[in-house]
Amino acid sequence: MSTFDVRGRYGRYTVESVPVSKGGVGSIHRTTDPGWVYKQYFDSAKAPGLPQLDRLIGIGRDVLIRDGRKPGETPESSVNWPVDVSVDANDAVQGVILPAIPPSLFNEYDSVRGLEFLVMARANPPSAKGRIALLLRMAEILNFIDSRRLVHGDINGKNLAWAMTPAPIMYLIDCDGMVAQDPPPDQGVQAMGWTDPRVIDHLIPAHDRYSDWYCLALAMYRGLLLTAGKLDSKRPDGNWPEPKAIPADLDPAIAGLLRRGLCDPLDPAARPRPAEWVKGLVSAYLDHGRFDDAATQKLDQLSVVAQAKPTFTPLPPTDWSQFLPATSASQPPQPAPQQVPVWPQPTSPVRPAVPSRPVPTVPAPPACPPPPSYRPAAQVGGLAARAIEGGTGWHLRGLLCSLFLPAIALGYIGVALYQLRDLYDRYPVAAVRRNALCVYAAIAVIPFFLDLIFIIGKQ
Amino acid sequence: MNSAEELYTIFPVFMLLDVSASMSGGPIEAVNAALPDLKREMLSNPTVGEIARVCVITFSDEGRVAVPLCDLAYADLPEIMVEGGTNFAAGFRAARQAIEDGLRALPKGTPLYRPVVFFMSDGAHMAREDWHPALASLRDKSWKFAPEVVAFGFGDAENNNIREVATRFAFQVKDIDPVLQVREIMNALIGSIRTTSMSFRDPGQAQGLHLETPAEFFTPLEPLTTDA
Repeated sequence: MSTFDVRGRYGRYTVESVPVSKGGVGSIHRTTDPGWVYKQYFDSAKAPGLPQLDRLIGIGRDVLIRDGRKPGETPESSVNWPVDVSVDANDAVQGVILPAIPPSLFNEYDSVRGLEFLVMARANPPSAKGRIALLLRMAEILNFIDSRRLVHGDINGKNLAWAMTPAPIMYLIDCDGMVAQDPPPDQGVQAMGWTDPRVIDHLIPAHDRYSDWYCLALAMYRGLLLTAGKLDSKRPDGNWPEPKAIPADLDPAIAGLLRRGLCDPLDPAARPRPAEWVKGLVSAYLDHGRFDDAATQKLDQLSVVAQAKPTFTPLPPTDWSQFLPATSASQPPQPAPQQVPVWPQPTSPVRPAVPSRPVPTVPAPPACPPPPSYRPAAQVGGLAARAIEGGTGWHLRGLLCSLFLPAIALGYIGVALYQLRDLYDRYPVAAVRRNALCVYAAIAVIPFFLDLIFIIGKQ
Repeated sequence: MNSAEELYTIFPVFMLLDVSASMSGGPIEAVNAALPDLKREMLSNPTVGEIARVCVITFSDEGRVAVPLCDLAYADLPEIMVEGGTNFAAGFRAARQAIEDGLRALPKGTPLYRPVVFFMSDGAHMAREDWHPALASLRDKSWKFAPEVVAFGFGDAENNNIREVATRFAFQVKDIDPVLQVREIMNALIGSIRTTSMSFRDPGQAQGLHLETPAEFFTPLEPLTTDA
């Protein structure tokens, strides 16, 4: 593994040349210390500014090095703080040293288990207690960021990683671009589904501190209720949609926070601060440091994802045999014909015919969706398929053997004709396979006749 | 719990794949290897899975729907097999039918982007019938579901055919090895679905469709007629 040396302001690092991942502005490289990675910017001009990085590094070193906190241990250490910076001779930023993301935050797809896996029903998120614990931690992380007068600016489904075991961890990533709250940022990036409506309406140029609060409210709405909650598209009437999935019996304090955060998306002053979410979640779902089981069970019920259930309609009782088509195969068993007695039978007066009752009309059952029309072609013409896709040598050896045994030739002809029949029956056209089978059958006819001539000549 | 107003807008993707005999061996194996990768993308990226709905259509002498329009994360994937000749018309007819069936089967009120057909072929049209009427029907602007058609040519595909098929974007693969060619196209499809699903715009709009077709692998071809 080739390496290169990076000289930072606080130390020297040996860095692997091959990156472990690449992003929009830089690549991530392992260092010889498994606790740290190096982020190398593709273009110094697009790297964060040095004064801004110095501020972040100051906090990061206090938390992670001076206080010795491990990533994810506390809210302040649950931020991927840069702890060192590499600059060139002109003080242009080349890269930063960051904490390695803990392995427990990666999922079976070798990517970080992002917030979207917590708030989207399709990703099979944890039950209410797990979601509350992680969302509470998210609010505490953003509260710390806010207390340091910083803006993350790109809170979205991928920039928070989480794990439930061995202990619940929420971890904020992509933090080297964090900026001061004042003055508000004039440029930044936004993710689909996590964009402040004020940016879409061009009221502000980029996400600011209130945008972080908006995204926190969105995460709460989606994560607590497991609703799609996509609110960043205007309605046809030009107004912003209000959240429609807040149940009437949701905890009133939580419902109030959700409404404040999302109902008037152009009024940032109404949005709850992260600290209000911490207080609200604790008071709604925790009781003296323990989960309030009744409250969490209720949230589990409120956030049940509606699944389409199979229906079963009881059908009216009737004689179903009368609806069968008149084919012998579908007729019900008929009573055996009775033997005609040979002695005279007493005759009885002819009874008047009983009028037949009207047959009740049977409602048509609901239409079933048609089965998929695709039938893989593996089942038919397999002999030809094998020949076409690499089995030719095997077949040629078989045909050579048929020179000595007419039964083998006959077998070839039979199998080829049988498969040809399948091809004609099930596929109107499967030209290559059909032609291949015809060729095999024709070739097999030649040794068959040679065998016959040989046998007749010998006799 | 979900309000229809808050649902993600669906991005319907129709993969129209040539399965003529010339695709036998490595190329068809590359197609079959790529489909699980696409499914994995839907599982590993829940937002993309929520937005993209994928349909796989094959064509040779006939067109068939191999996977109806669905959330691929929950689909059983068939093994795609090579068949016979190359009939573009059959493919375009099957694509139009699959779009009509697939989009009409979505729940009423589902927000939809303009569908995109990714056409991939390694040869020329070989049937007697003219394929242009079927293409015109697929691209008919008066049709409610008229798709964007992105065309990829490789192997013996004729550039002019590929240019005719595309509405705005046509590409010829640079690599010589047909297996690598198919792999690059399938990677481009997966990347394009991922990037477009995560973007803000309607793929039918000018800047809405994000195609992951790096210049080192693909040569852009100028379409002969455009819908834009």
